[in-house]
Amino acid sequence: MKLRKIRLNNVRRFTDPVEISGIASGLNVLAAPNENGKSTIFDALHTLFFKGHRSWDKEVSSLAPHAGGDPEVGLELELGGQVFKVEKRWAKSRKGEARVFRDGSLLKQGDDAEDWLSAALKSPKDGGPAGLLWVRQGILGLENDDASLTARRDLLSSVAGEVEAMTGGRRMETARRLCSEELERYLTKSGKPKTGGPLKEAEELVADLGTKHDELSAKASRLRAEIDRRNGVRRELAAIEDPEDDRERKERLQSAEAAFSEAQRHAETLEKEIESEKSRFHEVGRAQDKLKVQGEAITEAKQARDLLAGQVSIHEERKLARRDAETEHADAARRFEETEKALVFATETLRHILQAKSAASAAERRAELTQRLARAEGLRQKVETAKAAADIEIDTKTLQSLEELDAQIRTLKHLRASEAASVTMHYDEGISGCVVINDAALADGIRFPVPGGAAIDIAGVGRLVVETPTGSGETDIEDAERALADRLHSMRLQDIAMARESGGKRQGAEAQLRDAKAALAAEAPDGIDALRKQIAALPEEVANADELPDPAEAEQAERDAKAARDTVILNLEKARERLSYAKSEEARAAAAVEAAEARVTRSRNILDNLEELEAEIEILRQQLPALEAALEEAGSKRKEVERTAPDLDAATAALERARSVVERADRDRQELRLELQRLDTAIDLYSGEAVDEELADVATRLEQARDKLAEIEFEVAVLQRLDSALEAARAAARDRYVEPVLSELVPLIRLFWPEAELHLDADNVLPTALIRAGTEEDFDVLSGGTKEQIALLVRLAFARMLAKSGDAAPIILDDAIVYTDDDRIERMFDTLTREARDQQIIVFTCRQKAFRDLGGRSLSIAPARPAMASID
Amino acid sequence: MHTFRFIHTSDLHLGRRFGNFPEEVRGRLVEARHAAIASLANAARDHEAGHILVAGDLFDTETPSEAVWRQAVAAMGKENDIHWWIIPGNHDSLAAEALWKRFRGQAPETVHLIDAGEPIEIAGEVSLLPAPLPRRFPGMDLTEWMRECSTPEANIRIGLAHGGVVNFGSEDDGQEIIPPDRSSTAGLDYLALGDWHGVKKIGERTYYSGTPERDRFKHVGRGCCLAVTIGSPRAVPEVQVVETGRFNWAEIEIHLTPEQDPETALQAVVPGSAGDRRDFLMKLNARGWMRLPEREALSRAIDHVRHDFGYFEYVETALQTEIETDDLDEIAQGGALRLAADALYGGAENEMASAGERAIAAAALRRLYGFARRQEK
Repeated sequence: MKLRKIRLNNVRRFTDPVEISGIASGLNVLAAPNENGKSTIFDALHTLFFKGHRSWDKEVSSLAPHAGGDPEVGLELELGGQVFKVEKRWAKSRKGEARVFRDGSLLKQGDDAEDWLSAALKSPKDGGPAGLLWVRQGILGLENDDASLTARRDLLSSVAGEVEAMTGGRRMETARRLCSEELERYLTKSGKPKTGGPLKEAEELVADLGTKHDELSAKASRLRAEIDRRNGVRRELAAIEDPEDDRERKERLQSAEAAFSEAQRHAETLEKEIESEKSRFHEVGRAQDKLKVQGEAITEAKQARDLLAGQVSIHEERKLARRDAETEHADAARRFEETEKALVFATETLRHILQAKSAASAAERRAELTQRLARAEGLRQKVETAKAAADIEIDTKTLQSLEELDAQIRTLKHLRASEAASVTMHYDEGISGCVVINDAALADGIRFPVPGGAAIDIAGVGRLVVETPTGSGETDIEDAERALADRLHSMRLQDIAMARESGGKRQGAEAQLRDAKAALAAEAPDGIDALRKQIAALPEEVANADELPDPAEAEQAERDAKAARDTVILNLEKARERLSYAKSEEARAAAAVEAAEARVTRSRNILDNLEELEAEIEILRQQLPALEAALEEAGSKRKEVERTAPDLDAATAALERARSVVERADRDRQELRLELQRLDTAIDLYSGEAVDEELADVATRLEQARDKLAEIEFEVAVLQRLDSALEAARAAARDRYVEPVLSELVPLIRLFWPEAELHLDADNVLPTALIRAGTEEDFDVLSGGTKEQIALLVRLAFARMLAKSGDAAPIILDDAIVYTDDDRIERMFDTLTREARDQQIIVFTCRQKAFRDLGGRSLSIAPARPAMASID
Repeated sequence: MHTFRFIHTSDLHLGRRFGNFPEEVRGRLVEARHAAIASLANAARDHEAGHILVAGDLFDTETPSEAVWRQAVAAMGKENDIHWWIIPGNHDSLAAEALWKRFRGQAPETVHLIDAGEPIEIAGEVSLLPAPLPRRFPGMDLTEWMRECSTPEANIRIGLAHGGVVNFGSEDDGQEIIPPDRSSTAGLDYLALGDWHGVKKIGERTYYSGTPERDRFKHVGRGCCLAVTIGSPRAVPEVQVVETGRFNWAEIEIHLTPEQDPETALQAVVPGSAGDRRDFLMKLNARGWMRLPEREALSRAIDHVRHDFGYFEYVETALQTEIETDDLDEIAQGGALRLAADALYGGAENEMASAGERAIAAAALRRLYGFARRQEK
């Protein structure tokens, strides 16, 4: 589509008709100062395309001039090789007009004209994009603004319009909105049934009716059960109340009662017979008992009496025996004392004899031991003396150590002498002894050592002093000598010779000590004290020992005395045992007497009346056979009654059963009548509640509610299906759309910024960031000029894409390049010129000077004729 | 020789509440059932009959509400020139003792509840042989005794029973089925049957009267009763159908093809005129194939007429949509909207999908079409 001529009448300041004619296919420029009416033309064109002739909304009414009048906009356009004229007039009364002419003839009018125009704006291939691209004065149009009039006309809306066309456009939005609105009636945002919504209400109704249905079903079942039960109760009651059965029950009872009476009578007779037999039995028993008891008592009394007599006699015998035993025992005791005394005497005598004998043999021994004691005492004295003598002399060990010290001194001295200086005097012949050393004449030719130096007096010559340095050997000798001297001094010895003498003395004393000790040990091997004890232990001498009898006799006498005494002891023991036995026998006999007396006492009454009692028993014995005969007769009688009597237990049981049957029937009848009353009441109650009617009603309503719920669920499923289909389609369309736009955009962007890239939002296909030299810049922070250029390039990319898709859309720029500097504006002009090769571009600008270099066809607003349908 | 005229009716089902109908219709339907009593009385008078034989199911349940049975007794009592002979049916069998005890307690002399299977001379030389149901499923043919029942030679013998002569699909196993030749085996001049809600002639002496006021779309038209005239014993009875129902029940099928104009097709099948449709209860079952625009048009046409009717139910589950490219073009020629339409069309035609899923997709497509149309307007 290409615009050829635009015409306005009664549009804002243009109260008289104006027109812009001669619009070329390529680039067109309308450069005019501000307030010249460029934006009015822009708005008028927009309104022509997008507002119906019956509309009088804000956009349309804004076109009306202050003075009033109906705005008119006309347009000549070329479409598919043909030229059409479109005219629209809007009126406040909403009775505007729309007409389309072709070749001067009216082609469409009214709604048909609108439809034609609408179709003209559609790309035949894509069915959507508007045929125009609008770039509004001074608005960058990249903000995602609301859908206000201004925003819709800005760059954003024109592109957004294209995007929408591809993504379904307003129809898509409407369909989605309607679908959402419908869904919102049923569901919450999270997809749950909405409270108060039809779905929730239907669900609740189904649930409520379901509950009610269950309750009523249960009630109806109870009613049926009660009715069944009542039928059962009635049948039972009818059976119980059957007169035939009742009569039979009563007859059975009467017959049982008669049988029972008969059995009872027999039972009473039997009872009497049994009593009679019992009585006889007791009589016989009593007689037999009396015979037995009384007879036994008499026997007992007699036996007790006899026994007592026997026991008394035995007791007397026992008494005598005990007295004999006592006498015997006393004799034995006396004999024992006598023999005991004789034994003591014999033993004492024997002891004296033996003592005397022992004392005699001990006298020699005492003398010997006394001598040995005296010797031992002397030897002990010797030992002590020798020990004392030895102790004051030095011992061998000490002497040895002194000798060692002396030897050491001598050795040292010898060593000293062998090592020390010496002098040897070799006298000249004739001379001798004139050299004196240490006050002694020095012998000829004899080496005289002078270890400590020496003063040699040479007679007539003077004194020669030999000095030798004092050596260590000297000190050692001195030390040794001092040590020896100290030891000797401590022992009060003058020299070693005295020491040797003392050592010799000690050895002598020790030899004496050894001898004395050996002698003492021989005399008193266990010591002098033991010897003294030995002496003390010897028996004393006995006086008158000679008068004592012979020991052998004495021993024999003692043996005899002991034997006599032992014999007496045996006799005494025997006597004691016999006495003990006799005493216990006597006591036992006394106890037996006592017991027999007690028995006699117990039978005293009988013994006192013995004769009478025996007579009585005799009589009883004679009566017993008659009593026994009576008992037997009573037994026979009882057995006869027993044999002929009916069974009372059976009769009782039969009567009880008959009574129970009657009673049970009465009770059952009463209970069943009560049950029937209860059931009647319950059933009447249920019937009054119209349970079945309610149930039938609820069942049908439940069925209907379920159907309704299923319908609603289907409706929700349908809406959800539609919603998801719309959303999926929209997303798919967007995806398909972004790529083509980008591929058109990239070459345009690179005209300005080589190597740069632009990111587009996948949702609204708007730029989000510019990437230059590897740096990503958020679109919002770009300069106004850059934003403006990008915005324009994005629109041009859309235009290119649309042109390729079949129908090139005119691009209208209304002061769209405001912030762009001179350098960039040149490039923009180049770009526009290039784009204008393929599609129509109309530029409105107030920058007359700057846009002079743009080139292209220059347009102007010129007065036109007033009438419509006259664009030619 | 005398002529005996009577009205044969059954299955009034008083107390039915019609819970499956919208609230606004229910009351009218309930009221119409009650009004059937007066309609029957009028039919009797028109027919010069003094007796109405009710062949069971006077009440819908064994425990109708107090209001229902009291008002029924009162309405019958009000027509005191007519005798009502009533046997309980399977819905209100004699097991409903409480109901019948109270009913009897309130019933005037002209209203006769029959609770035993024994002959009753309801008029001079007219013997009624009734078969009241002792319980819901009696488990036996209750008319059997009529064979052995003797009545005076000069008497007209009329049987009155409730139940199927064929198995209508009830729960019994056939023991309760009334032999179709019972009128001849029992020497009946007429056997008045109830249970079937439409008029049905079993033989020249055996009829089902149907309900005097229809209650479901199974039996279309208006409810009716039978006006019976028996000229003499063993004479073939004259039976005349008398309309008594207020509501006209209509279940209509409309077969559609894509070429048809939906409005014309609808007008051709919709009964009555706007003036009398208030008492019409209509169920329209649409079948066949339609294209999206026509289907839209049909919906609009139905919306236009449906409110004329007392009740209008439109069932379109058997109506399928034929979709042409042009129809999809009407939604959108391209772009996302078209993609959505194509996807839904694919879903509706997808033979791999379940019938339910296809139905949902088809309905979603129709809805999209409707939305798109709304947008255009």
